[in-house]
Amino acid sequence: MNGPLKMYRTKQVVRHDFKVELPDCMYKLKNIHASRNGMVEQRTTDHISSPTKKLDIFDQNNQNIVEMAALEVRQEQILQQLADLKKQMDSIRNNLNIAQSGPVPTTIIKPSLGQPPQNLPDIIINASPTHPPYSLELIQKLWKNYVFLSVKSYIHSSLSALNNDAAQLTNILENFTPEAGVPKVNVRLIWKDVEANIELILSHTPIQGEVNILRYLSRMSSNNLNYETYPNLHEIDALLDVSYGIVKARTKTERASLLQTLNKSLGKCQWLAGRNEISVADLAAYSAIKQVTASSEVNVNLGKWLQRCAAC
Amino acid sequence: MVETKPVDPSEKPDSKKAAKKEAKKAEKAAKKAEHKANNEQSQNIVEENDVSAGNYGNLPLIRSADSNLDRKFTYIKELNKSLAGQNVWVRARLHTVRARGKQCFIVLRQREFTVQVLVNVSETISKAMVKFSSNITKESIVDVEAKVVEVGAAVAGCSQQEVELLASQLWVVSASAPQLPLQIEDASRPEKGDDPEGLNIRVNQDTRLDNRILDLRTATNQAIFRLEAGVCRLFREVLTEKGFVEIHTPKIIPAASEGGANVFTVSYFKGSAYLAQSPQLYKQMAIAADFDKVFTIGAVFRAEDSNTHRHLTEFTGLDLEMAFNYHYHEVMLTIGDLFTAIFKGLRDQFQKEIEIVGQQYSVEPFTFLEPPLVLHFDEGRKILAEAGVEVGPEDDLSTPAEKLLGRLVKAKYDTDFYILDKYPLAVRPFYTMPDPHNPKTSNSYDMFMRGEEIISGAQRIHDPQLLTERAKHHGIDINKIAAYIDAFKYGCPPHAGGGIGLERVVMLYLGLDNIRKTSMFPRDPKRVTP
Repeated sequence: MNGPLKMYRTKQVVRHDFKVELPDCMYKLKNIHASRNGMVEQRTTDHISSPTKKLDIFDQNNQNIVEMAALEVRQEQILQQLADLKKQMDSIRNNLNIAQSGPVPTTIIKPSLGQPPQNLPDIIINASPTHPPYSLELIQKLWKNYVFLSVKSYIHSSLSALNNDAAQLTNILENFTPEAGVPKVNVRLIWKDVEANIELILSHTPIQGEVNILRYLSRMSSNNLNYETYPNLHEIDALLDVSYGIVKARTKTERASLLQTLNKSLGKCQWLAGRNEISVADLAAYSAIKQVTASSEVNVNLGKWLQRCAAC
Repeated sequence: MVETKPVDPSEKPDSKKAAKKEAKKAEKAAKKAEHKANNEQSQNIVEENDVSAGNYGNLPLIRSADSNLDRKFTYIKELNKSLAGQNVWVRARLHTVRARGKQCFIVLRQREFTVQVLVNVSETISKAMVKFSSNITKESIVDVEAKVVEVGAAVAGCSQQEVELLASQLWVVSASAPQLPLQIEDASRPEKGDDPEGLNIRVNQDTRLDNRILDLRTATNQAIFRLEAGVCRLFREVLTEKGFVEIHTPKIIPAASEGGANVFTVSYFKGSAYLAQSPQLYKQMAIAADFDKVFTIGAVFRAEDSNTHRHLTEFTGLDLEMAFNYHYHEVMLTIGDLFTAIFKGLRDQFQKEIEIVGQQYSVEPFTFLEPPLVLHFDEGRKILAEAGVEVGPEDDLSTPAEKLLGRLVKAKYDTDFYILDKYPLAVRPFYTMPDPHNPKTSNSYDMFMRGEEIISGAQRIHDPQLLTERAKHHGIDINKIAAYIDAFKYGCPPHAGGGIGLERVVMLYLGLDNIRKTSMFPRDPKRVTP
């Protein structure tokens, strides 16, 4: 703290310094205040400290000097962290500003590429051929000069053969050629009978659902797919949940209302959530729609957006 | 049969006369006579003779005399509702028999299929026939003529639940001794261990092996050995399709093929010879002789005194060797594909057998990936290190470490089969080709099923000079392996291969706990019989 500042005195309003006759029908409690301040109170019946003692902060500071110092150090650290965060925010804001000035949405990604993540883990994805994770295809393309998702696919013994959609996606994913010199992430895509519950396995606990996998991948990266820094973060999250709902929806009407939500979010803009660059919400919604809906369920606006997604 | 008591003394001389022919017929005659006596006593004489005479009894020894040649037999597995009302002949083993008053229930068994037969006293079936039926010993082979009858409630405990048979004729073709060293029901009781109410009678492994003929009659064993035949057939089919040639290698060999120990010595006229530990040398010679891709299926002998659940002294080896162009991964992946094809074949063609084995021994179904998962040895070490087991870069995996790795890989990739590539050079035999990029590793691989090694293979050194060098490095006497080195003197294509133990593959595919379960007549250090 800032040195020996004394506090001003006020006129005493209430007097404490007379003896209080306590009823003896109640049991006695230990005076917790006395022990906390390191003072040994003689009059145990009185739970208020004696006014004759000096009790300003300076005194306390002297009394517990070790702890106070530690606290001070911690505060310094927190302040430093806050400053760092602010710096980061500034740099991101700069990035975004540059991005917004780009001519077409597809080129926006390039300038905002962050540092590639270090110590890239090997990823295992269990997906069912009935629900192929189309978002991987888009991520691979969006990250082509950031991180190379090197996909190797396997067929699990719970399946006898791959269907056309899955085989096609496998083909695209396995034959993708990245730009030279990008760091590589090994992705083992295992086609398995897991229905819509696609899983990503890193350690022992799997990440379930395509939407959650996208959340994980976006956080793994520090480029603009990482939506943590977006101003409309909550909106993106809500849209991700909508995508999940589309995959899980049992009836056509249920799906239709969710598609309507997407349509509203898209509006007249290029991408979902009124953004002018692609986000994870687009990836999730694109994949979900491609997995479960028939082309007749999608209106013109969404149809155009789907094409934009596929072409990104 | 309380009423028969008074007449017994008078009837005994009769039965004794009959006993001269055959014990069983005597019994029958006695019963016939008893019947007569009964009928006389109760004054209810309907018939004096056994109405069923000529419809049951012991069949004379079948010596291919020309009788009943046109009789058509029906398999138990074919008995179903569509045959209801028809008369069929069935030849099968008597599984169980149970008499109850005027009825006798028989369960007939053919391999895993069982059906219930009812012998009911009626106008055409005498009490004597029912009595005879109930006295047939278990495991006898019988011919039954019967009418197929649809039943209301499913017959519990039989594989053919929709129908039962009403017998009209019953003949014993080959009787079994009345005392069985083990009961088929006991031997086929599920070993799940978590059922406190179920009977807890088990047949232990040694009793099973001592009486292997009876033991093999259980549905589970039938299924295991049919599946084993399937592995062998698939191995042949897949490799033949890939252009491999089957060869047969000698089992009596002049010198120990791999190292000096662990070989059986046999006397060979004036000298001695050895039993082949592995057909490897001969496979390699076939490669040097331009056979390009070869495989062989045959007995392999190991004189290892190891009494474990996975070692036998004689087992069936499925060995293959293949020349390649530039990289031994061509061979490794061929072997991987071979396994995938075998697993797929088993999964698709042997579901029934797998299910039957699963009923007795609760086992998780075998999982695999296509194409097979290939892990680098270092990746394996890393996975183990994450679990807290440190393996040095030049150490071999211990058996517990292998098992743990198997479990970890299964948890991560959900596959029971995987390939571990690039073993340290130090832990491989002298003929293993060193890795060109790293002097400490070699071009060798192991493949695992449920965490146990089933094949260990490598690129072999095909250059006599390097081979001599490596042998010296391992401290092997060059003179002893001169023949082996000479095989490569006249030019040899680069090649790699490996050997698989058939019994081990079947054991691990089915998830059984002992290799003796998958060897028909196992040989181990403590057993050479039956």
